[in-house]
Amino acid sequence: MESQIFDLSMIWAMIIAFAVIMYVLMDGFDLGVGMLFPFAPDEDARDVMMNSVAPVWDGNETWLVLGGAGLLGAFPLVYSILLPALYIGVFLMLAGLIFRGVAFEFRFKAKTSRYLWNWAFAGGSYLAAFAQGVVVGSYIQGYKTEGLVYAGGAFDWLTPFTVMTGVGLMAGYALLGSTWLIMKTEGYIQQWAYRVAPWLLAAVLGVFGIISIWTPSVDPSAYERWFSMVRWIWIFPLLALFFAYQIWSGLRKRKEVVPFLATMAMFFSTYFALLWTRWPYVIPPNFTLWDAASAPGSQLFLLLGMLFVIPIILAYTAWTYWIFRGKVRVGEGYH
Amino acid sequence: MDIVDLSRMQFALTAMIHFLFVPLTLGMAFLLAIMESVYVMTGKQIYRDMTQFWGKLFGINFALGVTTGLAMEFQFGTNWAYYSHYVGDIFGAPLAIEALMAFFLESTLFGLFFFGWERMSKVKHLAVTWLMAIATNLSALWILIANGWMQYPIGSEFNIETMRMEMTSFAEVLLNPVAQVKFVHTVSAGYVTGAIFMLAISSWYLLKGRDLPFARRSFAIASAFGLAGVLSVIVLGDESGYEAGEVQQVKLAAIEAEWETQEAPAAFTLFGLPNEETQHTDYAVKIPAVLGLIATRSLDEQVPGLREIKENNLKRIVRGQQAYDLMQRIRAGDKSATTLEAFNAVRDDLGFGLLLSGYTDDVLNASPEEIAAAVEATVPKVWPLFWSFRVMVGCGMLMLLLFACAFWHSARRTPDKPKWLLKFAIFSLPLPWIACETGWFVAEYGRQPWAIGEILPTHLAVSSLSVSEVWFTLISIAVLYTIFVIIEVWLMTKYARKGPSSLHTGRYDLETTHVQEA
Repeated sequence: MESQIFDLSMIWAMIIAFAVIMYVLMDGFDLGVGMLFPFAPDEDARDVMMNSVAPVWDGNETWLVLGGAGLLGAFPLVYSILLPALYIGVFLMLAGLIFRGVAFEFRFKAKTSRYLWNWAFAGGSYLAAFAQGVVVGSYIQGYKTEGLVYAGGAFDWLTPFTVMTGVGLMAGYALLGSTWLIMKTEGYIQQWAYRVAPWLLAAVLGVFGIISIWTPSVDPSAYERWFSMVRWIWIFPLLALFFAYQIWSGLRKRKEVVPFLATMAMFFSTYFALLWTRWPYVIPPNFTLWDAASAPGSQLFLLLGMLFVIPIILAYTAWTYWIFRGKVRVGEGYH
Repeated sequence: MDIVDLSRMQFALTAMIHFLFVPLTLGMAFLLAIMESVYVMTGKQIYRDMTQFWGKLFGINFALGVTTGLAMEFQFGTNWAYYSHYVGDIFGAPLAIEALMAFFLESTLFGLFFFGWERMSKVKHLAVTWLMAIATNLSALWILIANGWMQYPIGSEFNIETMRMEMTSFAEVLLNPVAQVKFVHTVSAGYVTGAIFMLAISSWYLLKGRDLPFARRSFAIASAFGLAGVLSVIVLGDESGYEAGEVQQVKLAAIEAEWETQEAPAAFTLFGLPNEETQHTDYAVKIPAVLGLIATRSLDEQVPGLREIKENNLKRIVRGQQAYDLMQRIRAGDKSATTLEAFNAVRDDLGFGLLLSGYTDDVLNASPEEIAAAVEATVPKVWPLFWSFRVMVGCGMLMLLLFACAFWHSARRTPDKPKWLLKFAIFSLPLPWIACETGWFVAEYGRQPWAIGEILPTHLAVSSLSVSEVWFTLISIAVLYTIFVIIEVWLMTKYARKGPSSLHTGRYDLETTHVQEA
């Protein structure tokens, strides 16, 4: 029995980790496009930028729903401690996502108020990205709990460290967005994206570097993890640096697809490093994933559903991207 | 106001605003699929234009439905943390499946529906539209399974070891009769909403004498679809009454203001003024035997009244006191067989002990006044339920009348519909929303004082937040959502006024004249 719970919870943790990274990568690039909005060369470019993500943003965002609902079903304790702990932060993130989602629909249909929706789209993207980065930072920091209830303050999640992770994720999403645009656009918009991307890459590397140095002082166990126990963990930051180099050289050689793929790979490596730093704690520093798991029956049942449906989701998601393959052009209004 | 009231207000606000968008999505998705099917089968361009124009209005609505839904999903954790912890095992399952089976499908297909017209063959696009319609309905199914379980929690039991509810039978949760009935009732209400929306706007064109071929076809499709929908709503509404008579007797008694158990078969109170003070309905207009027929499908079974229900609940609270006390002892380490056995004998009434804990610090030795207060609380206030139920039914009947007339006139294929009918249709536009909102109010307010029927009282379900945090989000949500609703209505009006000319095909009225779109 024990070993069965062990396995199920582990698989579940992996599924949720998968949903989270899918969310980060997929909604990441469309949030990034939103963040680059104010800096776009002109209004035509904004149309193209928005059109490049309009058919897919909604599906991308659903990975967040899956992560949330999966947590509630498989690790109810995480849901019931983390969300009150991050109360205002989660609210800001949702408000950002709502603004942004609505802006997609409303911007194309508005005329005089169009500039307002530009701001809603950009502002919502910044807010959501920042709030998500803060969540990551707060996870590294850990949460104060008493019994099975969050016992910290309303703004424990907002510290200099989490602000830094918030900025880091914003920079990362913007980089994803700019490389996405390199892939999906052409002409002067693409040229602009080529110019922006290296700066964003530099910002990402800088901020991630600071966070890496800062983390051990926020979370002493991280130091242990990295310097005394497992050496092979160093493969992840090395991989991240390797992919960062790929981005850079891809940009220099004016490659169109490589920078985007390499950015995703860099994110992926960083994400693994982060997970390993905190493994197996889901509510650090007190609860591991096994402490937080729901009953094995519930987990098993849901698991069967997941394993069956996730491949189908991936298949039709891939099909959608295939349908919308190719460059988005100026004046090619979908609406 | 305390944290419980604030959290309830916030949830009610988000849920009710979310449900302004949902029924329209549910109904319009199928209407779009029907119109596009006609296009693919007949090849007539006008049906494609219809799909695209009504699709535009559908799109304005869809984005808000999705994003407000996302916000609700997280609220279970942010504001109802103990609830999530206590029942996440069970409640989370349908939500997760909803995300997997429905949410993903509808949000992915949404993009394909709008942007894929030129990128797919006709038949593929049609398949996308149908799948999108089915996905929205599947989404409703899983959400209502979750909600049905809150109303009538079967297939689960309390685990004293983990202090949580755990699932014992997924099949029971899935096939929960309350959920099944609610599902059909709710999606049908959505179909009616979509149909009225299309009918009202088409009627407006007909009244103005513009875009006649477009409006007539839309009118005909909406009236047929709406008639089927409204009949289904009413039949399933009656079925809900029967289910409530079986498993949610408190709600039924409160809706009907049945203070005392009547002789079978019970009379149905058509109207009246429920008076909480005297526990009596003043000026009641009654129809003999109808309530008994609806609730029990028989002439000899009784429908329990509120007084009898409260008397019964008093007994359950007394057993709940024991259950609560035994639970505390087991938690403290007393795992002896006698204690466990004693607990198992009264475990079904643990919820009532938890309810009492909201009225006293010492559950086992609660004073008679405290117990009496808890007993009173087991029954929701009567007049809000009584009236909102009647408003809902009244709207339903008006819509039945409207669709019957509209369908009759379209079936006769009269080219010109009478003016009174067109005006009736236009003024009926708010009815489905009023009916949906009052209906949900009946369902959820009628569930009080429970978050999970007779298992977890609402006051225990909340998160440990500060009052100011919840005030902040409550006010922000109220302001934001109000702005979004206003913008949505404004945009809808703008596009409804433009009509099919907004497609820029050159085939419709207004296009050659003054209206130009950016």
